[in-house]
Amino acid sequence: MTSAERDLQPLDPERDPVKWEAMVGSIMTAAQPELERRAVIRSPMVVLSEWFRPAVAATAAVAMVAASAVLFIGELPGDESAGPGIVAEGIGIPNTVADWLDTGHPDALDELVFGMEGEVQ
Amino acid sequence: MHETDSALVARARQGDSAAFEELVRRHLKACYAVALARVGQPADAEDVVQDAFVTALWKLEDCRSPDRFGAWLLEIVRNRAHNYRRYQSMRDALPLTDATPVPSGNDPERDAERGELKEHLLRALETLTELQREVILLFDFEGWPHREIAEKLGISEGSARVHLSNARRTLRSSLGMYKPGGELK
Repeated sequence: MTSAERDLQPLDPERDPVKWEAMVGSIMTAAQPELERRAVIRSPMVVLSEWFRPAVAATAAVAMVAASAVLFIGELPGDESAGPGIVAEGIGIPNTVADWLDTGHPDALDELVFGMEGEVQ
Repeated sequence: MHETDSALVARARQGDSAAFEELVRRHLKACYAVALARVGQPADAEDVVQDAFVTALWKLEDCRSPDRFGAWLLEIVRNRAHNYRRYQSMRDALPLTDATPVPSGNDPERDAERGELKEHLLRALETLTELQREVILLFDFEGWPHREIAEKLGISEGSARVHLSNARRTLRSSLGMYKPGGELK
């Protein structure tokens, strides 16, 4: 396309470099206060707030997942097995000791020793 | 290296003056074309464009798609031009063709001829519809392809072609009586 085909080119502001630069300059002068305001308000608090918002969102997501997991596990059948006796049994502690942990009252000392020896054998 | 609009917008949001100036230089001509199409007077168009850029800077966080900053900015230019025209009509502004050309000072005869030509062009522009003015000014100033004009103005490519063709025909018909130094065909 030739310039002759562009009828309105004489109105193009860029044809006059002085005028063009004056236009850019006047826009930048008018924009300066807002640019300065933006540069100043980017203080540590702003940076912190930018971190804070995603952190809150992430925490909420983790909390939701955790709460869902607790609710789900809580509904599993036979979950009452989480007592200290079962845990003790699970990690290999003798039954007599486990009973002691469950009830909070130790059996007679000889029964306890006997029980432990029996388990060991 | 050519920085994307998106990157420049991100920097301008933090008050980076150089980034904002680059955005101004990149989009000024298109904004001016749209403003001139709406307000009809170069001096008014300059005011509208300046106002639009400052407004855009204030509202930079509202620009949801920074990669489409240009289209968003043109929308602001249209709104500001609309407000400006309404304000001018309330103030009983001067007619569109009363523009006084700014002399360059070197060649008064040439300045006068240029001023006369611009005046004729502005008068001829008034015979077009607003959309035709936008299309032809964007095409003549920026040299944008029809596809880009259509995208920026929110019309179809075919429609942009038709508007440009009709605008060109009407414009040349309006300018038919004026042939200074063969600048127009």
